[in-house]
Amino acid sequence: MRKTLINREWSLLAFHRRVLEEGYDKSNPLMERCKFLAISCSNVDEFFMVRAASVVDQILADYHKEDHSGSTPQETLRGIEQIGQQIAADQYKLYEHLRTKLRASGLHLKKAHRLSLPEKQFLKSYFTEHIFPVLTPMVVDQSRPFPVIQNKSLNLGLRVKDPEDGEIVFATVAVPEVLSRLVELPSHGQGREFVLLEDVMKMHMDVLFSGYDITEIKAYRITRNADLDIDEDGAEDLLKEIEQSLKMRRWGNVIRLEVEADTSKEMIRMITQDGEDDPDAGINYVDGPLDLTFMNKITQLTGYDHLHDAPFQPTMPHDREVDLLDWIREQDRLLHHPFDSFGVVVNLIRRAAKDPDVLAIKQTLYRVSGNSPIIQALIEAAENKKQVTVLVEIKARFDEENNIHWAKRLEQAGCHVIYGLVGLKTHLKMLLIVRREEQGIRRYVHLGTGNYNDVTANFYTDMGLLTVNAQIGSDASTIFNMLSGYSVPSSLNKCTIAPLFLRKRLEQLIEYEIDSVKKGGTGRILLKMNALVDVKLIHLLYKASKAGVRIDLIVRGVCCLRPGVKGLSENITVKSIVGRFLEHTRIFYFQHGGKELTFLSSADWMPRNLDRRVEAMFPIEVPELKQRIRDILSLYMKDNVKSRYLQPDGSYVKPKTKPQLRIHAQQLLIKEASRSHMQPVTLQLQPRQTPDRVMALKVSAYDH
Amino acid sequence: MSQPKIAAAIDIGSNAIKMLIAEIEGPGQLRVLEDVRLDSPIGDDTFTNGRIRPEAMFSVCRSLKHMSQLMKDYGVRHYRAYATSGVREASNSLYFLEHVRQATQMDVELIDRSVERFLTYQSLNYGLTAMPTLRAEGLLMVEIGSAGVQMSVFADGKLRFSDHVKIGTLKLKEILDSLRGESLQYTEVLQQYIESQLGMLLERIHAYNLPHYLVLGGETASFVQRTHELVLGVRGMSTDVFSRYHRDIIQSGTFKLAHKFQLDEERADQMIPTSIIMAELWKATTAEHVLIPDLSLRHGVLHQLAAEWSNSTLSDTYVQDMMATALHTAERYQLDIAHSLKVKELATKLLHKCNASFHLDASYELCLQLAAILHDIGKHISQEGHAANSYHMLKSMDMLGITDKQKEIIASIALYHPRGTMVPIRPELSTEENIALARLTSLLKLADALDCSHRQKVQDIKITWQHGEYLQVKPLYEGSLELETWAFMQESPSFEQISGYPIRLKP
Repeated sequence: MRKTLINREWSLLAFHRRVLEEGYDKSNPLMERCKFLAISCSNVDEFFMVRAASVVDQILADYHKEDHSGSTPQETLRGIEQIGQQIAADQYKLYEHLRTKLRASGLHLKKAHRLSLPEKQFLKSYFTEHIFPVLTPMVVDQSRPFPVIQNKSLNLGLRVKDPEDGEIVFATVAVPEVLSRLVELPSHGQGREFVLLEDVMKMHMDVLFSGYDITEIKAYRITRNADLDIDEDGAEDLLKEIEQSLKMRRWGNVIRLEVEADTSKEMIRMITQDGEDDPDAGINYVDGPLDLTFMNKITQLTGYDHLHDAPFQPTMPHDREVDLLDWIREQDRLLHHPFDSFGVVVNLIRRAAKDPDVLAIKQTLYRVSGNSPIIQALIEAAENKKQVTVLVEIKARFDEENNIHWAKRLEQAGCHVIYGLVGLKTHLKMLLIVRREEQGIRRYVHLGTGNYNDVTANFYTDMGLLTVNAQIGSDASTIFNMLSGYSVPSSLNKCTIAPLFLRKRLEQLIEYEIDSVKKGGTGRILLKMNALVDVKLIHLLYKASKAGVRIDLIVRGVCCLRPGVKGLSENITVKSIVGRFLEHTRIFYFQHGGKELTFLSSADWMPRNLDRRVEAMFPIEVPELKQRIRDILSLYMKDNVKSRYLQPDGSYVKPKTKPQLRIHAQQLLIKEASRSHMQPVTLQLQPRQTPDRVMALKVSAYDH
Repeated sequence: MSQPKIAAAIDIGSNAIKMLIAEIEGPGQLRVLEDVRLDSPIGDDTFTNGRIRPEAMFSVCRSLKHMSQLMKDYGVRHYRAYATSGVREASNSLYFLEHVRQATQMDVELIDRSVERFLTYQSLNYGLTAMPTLRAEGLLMVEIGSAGVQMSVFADGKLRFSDHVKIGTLKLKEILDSLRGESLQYTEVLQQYIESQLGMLLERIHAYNLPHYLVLGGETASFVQRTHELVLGVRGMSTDVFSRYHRDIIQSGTFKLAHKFQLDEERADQMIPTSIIMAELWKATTAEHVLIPDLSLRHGVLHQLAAEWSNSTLSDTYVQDMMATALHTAERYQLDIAHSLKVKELATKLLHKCNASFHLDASYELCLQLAAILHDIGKHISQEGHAANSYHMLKSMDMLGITDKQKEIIASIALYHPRGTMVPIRPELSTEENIALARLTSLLKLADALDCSHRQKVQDIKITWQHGEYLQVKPLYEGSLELETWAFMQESPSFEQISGYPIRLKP
């Protein structure tokens, strides 16, 4: 019998492959392709640090039970290694391809053996002046144990021979992170040339080991288990506990060893057996430079705008002459980022910070940018004697260090910083402004699907609702009170929160569609999210499919649901859109007997979101805004340029489309945003081949 | 247009510390901004150990600090914080209040049960538009507290009587907890105990044939969340629906209830007695629905605050209800109602005339009127020493909205009303209250003298200042007024001593 669920880890790797495929897509500009390669490498690193690490943990704990997809941890790990190696091979194939393309565009990543004598002389002095002072070679012998190698750090392993006694010892030198991976060679007026830092180091290792014979120098890199495990119950001060855990992260168990393809067995034996490393850790042989995330540095080189996507300036959705608060009071406002500028939200907080009638500002913060204008505005508000309460989720993975830093800054400015509920990450995105007006207290609320991060808002698609709806305002207060520990949870008017009620509410909504079909009506579900993993909800969707409910899912990342299986899920389609912007909106549409309930949410359908995080789902009830969301969903459903369809076997297939029929949703949304935000909400989609013919798409959620 | 005022009401209860922040435009015009609740460990401590432990004090202070922060968020300048039965019955209540004051800079007032009831009563009168209809048609109002259950019967638009039984949710736990581990039929035992405590009272309520039934407090909030049915604009539950929940509740254990109703176990534990009390008292009415308004003492506090801001401290409805209850009590104890009413009428007239110099507020007037109606209640026990009997009976009575000190004044007026008795200084009262007591007693004595024969010969009185030298009382009367004149002359010296000016009766 076919397994009804797709292996979660393999599905996640399949997403990383889709990101990599964008690097292969010739229709993307060259620098964007480099960026996709770098992202894919970074993603796979994170995958090994967190996901693969947890599978390895299970194996080490002698756990053999099958997961929901029917795979044992051993089987899952074998699959991870197999897919991981395929991805790695494809990454390096792409790297070589892009290197050629970059060279044709005047950017040359030179290999060491291609260097001219003057270049070698330049690099020698560069090594002496810049690199040598920061190097710390470490020799491993009987008296000196193997040093601890930092997670994701790039290192050179050397086998050196003592000419006196002929003994070969192992030495290791970390490639310094303080220096750029790209060492630029003197220009000759024909573009720019670079050599990788580790190659420069390799050329000069004899300086470090003078008197020894170097028999082999190879780069290696290890990835460690970096999943923070914090005992919150015992943590008197969560901030200190997390700081401690961060230090530990650098030294977690080894999950993966990457070595150059022609590394000798002796060298590998020295790295794996003489070290503290786990012999079971997977070894990846890499035919090229290790850690391709340096490709991101290439994309940041100035003067190559023509190799990037055409610049896109998000549009401010409101007239700057109109006061922001008046604009929100006039009617509910839907923001669709990055097409609508996230600046609206930043401006709202700035506006509130200066407003003498604003009494309090409350906000959740999960991940913010390095120099966040939101933090600045909140600090300003506190300095202006507003009551500012900030719920900081310092446990946001890989952002903890940054989060601790600005949480302390906020506290110093006089904000009330709260670190959320024990055992639950606060993932919902909510801003509440309490303002005293002529008629009394009014609450301005922003609820969003994405983080309050002004930088990522430029390349993540997210939606937000700005409203003065009294019931939503009351819900926002209740939720903040609950999160602040000011009140025990109580019932809400419009919003639904996890982990208390969201799962149940989603179940009810799906069941309602099933009932509708059973009573002779129609059932329709259209969901857009980043991940669909929750087994209970997947089985409920299967039940709905079997009952005859039509279900279309747009799941950007992991999807454990197996669509299109006869007798199980033939009424379900799943597509993934990976493009210029990271699809991040969570939109849930239910026909609900014609009422057409439309929700936005911060939650994916994963057990962690529904059971272990504080998330919110909120309805969009203003008819124009509901229509706008349905139009956007329909557009995404019609996208055939950046969409890949999930097959029953778990693979993804990109449809072949004739050029004149191409519908590129993100591109069309950019065009629409560029034209004007003052236009009616109906999307005007223009087929590429017929720019004069405006095809007005008035698509409803049923129509695809 | 002026901005509405924002105020907060905090209720430090046995199970929970609750706060309401609202905009107030006037009595009956609240817009709730925040309604928060934090668990309180006080009840467990008080009803188990008789005192509040330091850990519980710390927990309460932490909760109050949270609430104080929330008040700052709304720029709240006016607040009232009240502690109720959990603190009231703790042996270290004064230390507790002082500790809270020092730790939070928050003044918390310890209120007695009658004030607690009065505030809830205010919340209904102001906050429930259907209240006049319910009162007119007949209503049993039940308030389930941690210590006891208060029942009030309204008929023909008036409060007929009110009674209190010590079967509050935590009190029951305290009484029957030892049985819990021993009996497999704990719920049945609980039910039997509640029935036994309500016994006679149910019959008394039943006699009014009440078509409406309203319940507040306890874990009724959990019921409110499960009904969207509106009866006269109030959330309500029909017999069928309630019976279904009730069956489910008494058959489920605490853990199952906690899961089903998404409550913590402490609250789930209270659902069982709440449901049994609701079901038992429902039997005494003919109501088809139980009304469960989302109102509380905190709403009443804010309405009362609004009333004070608009200088209407005692509503007409409240005063009428108090009079009706007092008369109902007088009837039950077979007092001479005509005499009571006459004394009340004459004493009120005298007070109104003298108040230019007495400066006694409306609450003192109410004390005088209640004392006037019930001053002879002790005669129900014996004629001899009836004043002392009256004092003890009045002191033990539950009077809606009357504080312990006010009750002391009412009972003392009755105690010192016989002729020739002087009012000594009562150590339990302040100087101001002692002066008020003496003045009110002297007025009651004069009024009582004017109906000495209990024949209501004096139909009315006209009180005037004569040349700024003395107060002249000119009665409109029928028949001979010799007895009344003699009695008046006996009482006038005590009035003159207390008021500082002479009084003459001019028949």
